[in-house]
Amino acid sequence: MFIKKAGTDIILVQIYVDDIVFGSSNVKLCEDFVKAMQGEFEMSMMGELSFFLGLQVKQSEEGTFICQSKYCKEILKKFEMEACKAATTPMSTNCNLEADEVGPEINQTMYRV
Amino acid sequence: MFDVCLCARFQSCPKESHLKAAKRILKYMKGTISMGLWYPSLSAIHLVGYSDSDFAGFKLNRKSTSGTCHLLGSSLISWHSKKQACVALSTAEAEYIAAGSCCAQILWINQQLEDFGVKMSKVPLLCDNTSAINLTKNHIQHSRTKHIEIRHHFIRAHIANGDCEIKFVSTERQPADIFTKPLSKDRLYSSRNELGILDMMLYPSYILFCFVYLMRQIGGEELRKAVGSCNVMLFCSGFQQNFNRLSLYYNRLFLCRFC
Repeated sequence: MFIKKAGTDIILVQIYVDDIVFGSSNVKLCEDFVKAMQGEFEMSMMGELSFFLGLQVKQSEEGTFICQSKYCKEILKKFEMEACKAATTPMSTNCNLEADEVGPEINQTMYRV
Repeated sequence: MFDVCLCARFQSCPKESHLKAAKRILKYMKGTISMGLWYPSLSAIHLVGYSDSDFAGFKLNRKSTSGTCHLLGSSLISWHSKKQACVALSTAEAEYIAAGSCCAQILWINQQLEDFGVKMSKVPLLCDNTSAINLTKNHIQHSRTKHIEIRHHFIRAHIANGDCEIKFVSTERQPADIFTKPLSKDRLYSSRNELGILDMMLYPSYILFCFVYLMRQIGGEELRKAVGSCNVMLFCSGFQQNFNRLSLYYNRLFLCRFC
């Protein structure tokens, strides 16, 4: 991560492999950064952040919303569970998972890619 | 989060009961596709850490699970749920270990914030066990605690330094509960709301913001009850009717806070 401070303004640049996310308290700093980067490297400017590391980002005046709807849908599709009934909680409160040595085995390889 | 971790512990030799639990998680996911984290842009920057643990919850070797989460203003920025490395002898000990890892995370977040030009000291760390809180303050070693490993005692030094400040919070107002044990529907929903995990399909964003803000700041019994009982939808329609009054209330609160 890189930080540049100019007076009271600040610009933050986060690099992940070949993705760059940056934000600033001043629009001008952002514009300068884009110009400097595009002058030096061949890269495209994707505009406002909407998708990063599998997270969907929605930005508005009031705040930012981050969700993984796309990823969720993909997983449900992968396990063919799109049509299943939705559960209200992820686990029942009296659920006590144990090693369960007597229980029937399942075919592990079926779920491996 | 906790549920996924629990299932993951049985990866090596899964049986049908484990598969059933995993399927339940996917079913839950199906119902929460449009949910996500909400980061309101106007919330104040103050860091709070919550730590919680369950005692000997893992049936296989009776180890405890620690769960922590950190909120910056009203935004959830970091969380974890982890089975503790050693067996705790009492709830206080389990909570103490959880508070230790929560403290470590607070120190790290503080370092990060310093990079952004925000400095904070005496970060509140909220824990729901008074014995654990006393352990962090009292340096007298007595027979019940003298076996606790030294590395878990580092939280004491940081509290003495004033890096963080440990406080009590009742179990009902402890959102980190969600990371330590399977919760009932009501508790799950209220914890989720408190952490700012919301369904974007249900609420227009401004109402959403007021809603979360009011809930967290006032914690009014009525609001809590309405949110806790799963009548969120009903509650919201009522909310919209009373919206003008509530938004006045909200504005006043908001001004008090930032002036």
